[in-house]
Amino acid sequence: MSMAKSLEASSLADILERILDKGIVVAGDISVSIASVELLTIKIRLVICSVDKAREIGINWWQKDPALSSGFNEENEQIKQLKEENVLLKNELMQKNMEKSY
Amino acid sequence: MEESIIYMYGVINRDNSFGLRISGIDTSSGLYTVGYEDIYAVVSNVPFDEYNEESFSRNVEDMQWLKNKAILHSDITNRIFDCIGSIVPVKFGTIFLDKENVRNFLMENYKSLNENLDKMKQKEEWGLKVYCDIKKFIDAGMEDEKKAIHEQTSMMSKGTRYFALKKLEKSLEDKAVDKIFKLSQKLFDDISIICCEGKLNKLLSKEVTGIPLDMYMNAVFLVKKDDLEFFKQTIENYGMEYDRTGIYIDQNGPWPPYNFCRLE
Repeated sequence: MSMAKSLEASSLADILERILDKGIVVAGDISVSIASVELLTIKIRLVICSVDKAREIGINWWQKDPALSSGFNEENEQIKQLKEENVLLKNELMQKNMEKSY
Repeated sequence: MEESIIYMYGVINRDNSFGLRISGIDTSSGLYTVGYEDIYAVVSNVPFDEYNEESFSRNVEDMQWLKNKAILHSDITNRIFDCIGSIVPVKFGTIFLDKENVRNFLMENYKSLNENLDKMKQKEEWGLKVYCDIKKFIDAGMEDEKKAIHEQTSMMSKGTRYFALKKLEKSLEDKAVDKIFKLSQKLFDDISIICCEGKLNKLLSKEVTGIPLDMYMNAVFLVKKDDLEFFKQTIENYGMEYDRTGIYIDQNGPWPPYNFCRLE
């Protein structure tokens, strides 16, 4: 089936491809060089990879990424990250305890 | 020292007098416009501390910051596009120190901006990416070649067969890649005809897309809003035809015309 996607589900690559590489070039007052779209997309995906890892073990309560709608809340993002980390650490601990008992 | 400077999203040809109640890339400020004649830059205020040249350079190396701001920038530009129907979008990180500089930019590029706005009237951008599961493609459409390979190698000794298979399978894969590119080319040509314009962009690797399939086409099209139904139907037809062969068409949009605006 063709993978038709709505704008809400646009991938990170689709977004970065456009806003980092396309759009008109305006000589504003701030001049900053930004790394390539490819490199940055990979780096950003690495930063959020803890999400993928947790999804693997069936945890996906954050399906609707709040960062994709405007009115984005910095604090919610931090709480989300801490929750993810907590889940991963708990699982690691469980794993280690199981290994010990053998 | 100024407390805030100006972050820009794009240029429109209608004032926001009907209200763009949208938060900017920094939530401390909403969107507003800076006008020159009949064109308007859509902007918002951002803290000098975070967006001056030094800080901004540092922040764009913080992947969490960059991701958040990039998504916001894109989202805001999309909303302006939805509200107004037309926008000449600018790159991420277009920042001015004050309104006068924004006005000067509009003045200096007045003619070109107007041409862009004219050209983009009633149009939107759509992206089409083609991915393929090459194993599925070979299984679905190259049965005969596969059979031939196995017949050819069945009589060989184990060692000879191993290497012969590797070589023949590689050449089969090359043939498949060739076919897939040809099919993508056909798709691109057929869609371009029904659009205003079509462009091919560089292919993105699996690491970039996060999709475990190779990309064979990365195209963008400028479509008249009136032709949208026909555009979507044509792609859907292609999708149905190609799906059985392991070719996936990723259709994405609508977007403001990032790929089709240019300042002369």
